[in-house]
Amino acid sequence: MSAEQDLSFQSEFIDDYFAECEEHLSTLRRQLLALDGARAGSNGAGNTSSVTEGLMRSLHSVKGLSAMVGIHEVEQLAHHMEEYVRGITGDGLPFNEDGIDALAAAIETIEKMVESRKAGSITPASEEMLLQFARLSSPAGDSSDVETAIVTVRPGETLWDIQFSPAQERAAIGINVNSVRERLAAIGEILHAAPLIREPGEITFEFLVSTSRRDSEILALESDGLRCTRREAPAAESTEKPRALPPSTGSFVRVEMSRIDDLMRMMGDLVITRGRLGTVVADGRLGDSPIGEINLILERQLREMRESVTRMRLVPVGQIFERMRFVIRSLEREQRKKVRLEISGGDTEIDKMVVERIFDPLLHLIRNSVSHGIESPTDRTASGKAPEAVITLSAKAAADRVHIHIEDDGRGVDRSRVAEKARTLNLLGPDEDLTDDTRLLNVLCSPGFSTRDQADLTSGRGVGLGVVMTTATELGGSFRLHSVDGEGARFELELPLTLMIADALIVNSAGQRFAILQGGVNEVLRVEGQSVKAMESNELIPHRGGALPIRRLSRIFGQAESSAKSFHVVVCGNKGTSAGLAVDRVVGQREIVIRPITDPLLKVRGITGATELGDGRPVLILDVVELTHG
Amino acid sequence: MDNKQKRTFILFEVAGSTYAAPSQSVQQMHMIEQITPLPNAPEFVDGAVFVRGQVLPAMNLRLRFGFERTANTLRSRLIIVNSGNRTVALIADSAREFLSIPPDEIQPPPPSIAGLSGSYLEGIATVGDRIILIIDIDKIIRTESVASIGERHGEN
Repeated sequence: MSAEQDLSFQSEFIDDYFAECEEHLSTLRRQLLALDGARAGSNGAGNTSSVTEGLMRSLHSVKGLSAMVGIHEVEQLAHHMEEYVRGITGDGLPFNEDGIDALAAAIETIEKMVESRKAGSITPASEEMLLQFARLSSPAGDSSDVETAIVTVRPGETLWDIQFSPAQERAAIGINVNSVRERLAAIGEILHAAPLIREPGEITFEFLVSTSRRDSEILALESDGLRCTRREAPAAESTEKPRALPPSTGSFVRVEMSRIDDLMRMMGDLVITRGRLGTVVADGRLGDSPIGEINLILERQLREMRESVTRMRLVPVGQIFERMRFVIRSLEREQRKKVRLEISGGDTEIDKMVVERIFDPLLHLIRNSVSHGIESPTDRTASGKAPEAVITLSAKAAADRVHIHIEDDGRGVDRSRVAEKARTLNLLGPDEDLTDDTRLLNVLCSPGFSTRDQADLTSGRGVGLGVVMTTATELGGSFRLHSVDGEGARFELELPLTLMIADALIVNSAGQRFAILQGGVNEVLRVEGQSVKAMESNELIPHRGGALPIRRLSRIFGQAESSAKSFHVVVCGNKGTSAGLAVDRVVGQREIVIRPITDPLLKVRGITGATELGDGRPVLILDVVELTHG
Repeated sequence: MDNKQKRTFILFEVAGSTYAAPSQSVQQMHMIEQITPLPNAPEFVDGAVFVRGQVLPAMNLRLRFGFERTANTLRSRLIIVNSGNRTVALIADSAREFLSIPPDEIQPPPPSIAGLSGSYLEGIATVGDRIILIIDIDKIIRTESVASIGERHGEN
């Protein structure tokens, strides 16, 4: 497999790889310590199974991750380590200090390998290490082939071959190898992961996943462009009965998201064409004629069609709720807490884009609840609660909004601790308290506020509650908190059912970027300065055998005027009344999320809203009709 | 508790004077990063900022209070305030302190107080040898007064 082909893909997620590896390595070190402790304590492998399981899982993750980014020396070493650990538990391999030492040395080597990759230096050799593991696990025989080593499927589970080809349009909506891998890890165990190169320049990632999920759930992944094929596993000890195919097979069709987007775009074009027809009808006073009637019918039908297309983007929010079960399961283990997750309203539908955007925030809220809200079973018993805590994830649709609540029956937010911390950060006055839930949430969401001491382990990559708040407001929703001391906390997300998304041209005028919704734009012209004719206070350019009046954005906005010889004109309006807005340059075209401008101080003629292009800076959306005709 | 009596404020400076905003109206404070200029906006609106995904006006308090504009520095702060159902970002020269002031140290603003800021004051407090001007956020961001100050009409 050619390393050069996948270089560009690698670079996309190599940073994530480093970050994840770091986490796994520190987990590995902890687990190895625990294993050593257990070994010394119990004089045998009897009580170590939970530790070895964890160790295998971590090694497995490192192996899978490394395979995906093509760092094969790490993959190989991790694989041998995993085999050895599996041997300790299953095949009664000798487990002694040598083994521990070998594992410790190997973890160090992996660390060095990763480091050297990061630094671009020469990777340390690992042959000797591999030999050592081969010697340690020699009775296990030839197990170096990944494929044969892993295809044992637990009873009740099915084996799936899942292929994913990265593509730009998918990356744009957050579907990349990492998100796919995370998702697969949530529904089952990734037994094997490797990039495949089919044709030059094209790469596909292949995952072998063992899962207890229903086939329909796996096949649902295909809506995100994954190819899922069920593999018949060697029926080792499988007691599995042949599964009935999901009854719904006949009533569902899987469609790629990009096709729905295409449909949306074409809808937009149709709407504009219909608009032209409307003008013709009006200009020719044909309102009462058959054409006028057809025009009205067409308008209504198009509106209905647009609504159905929008509805196609809706997916049940339960998809991501279910994934939280696995998050909770691993947190339970990690923190020695008992948690039951109750889900309600999982069939509530919400825009796919919204669902994808709230996954991380939801994950964070769940982690936050388990880490900070829920007490240890002993503490719970002491305060008269059931040792098992309950987290309720619920969704409910009301009008065009969806309410998602994450509620736990833990201790509630520790107001005094938060207040204390807030005071040291100068977020709170010395005499202020945090009895008010809104104020409390605001403090929790402040940049830089994170109860770091505990958060590191579980809250992972520093996604704070602030990110939850930002995401909610970015989506045009809200985020609230109700906390009752000693009884629990409820975080409430309120989100729009669909997003206001539109295609826009991004233009530049005097160094400032603006967005123009494409719906109203007929065409974009490139105009040489000398072809502009001044007529009284107006400027005209020759256009399609006539004259097109233009207005310069820089003049309307009192900006510095460009001295460039040529500029771009965005033409809008209907035939006969069309006019052009002159800007320095049209710099691109993209899909934007429209944020309304509500504050009266921002209501300025010619500006209809704002958007953000990824740098946190507002970009104003221009109303070209108002600017050129007003 | 006596927090019913004592009120807490966030102190900030504008053109050498110390002002105070009731802390329950202050949502958060930020360093000033990027403000998108808003063409044809009132003179004291420097532009639009994104705060937690919301588009907010950034109001320059120097200009609002009738002082000269100066360039923002590292000490300049955006103070995000809520009033009614509106949220506005105020630009101050600096802001860092919290202070609680007993009510008997707050007096109504003397009617003779000069300067534009006088019309936005809720009171004046004397703490030690410092004179602190307590602002009325609602009056500062209210648009009727915006229209008259900016000599603009037909707002809202």
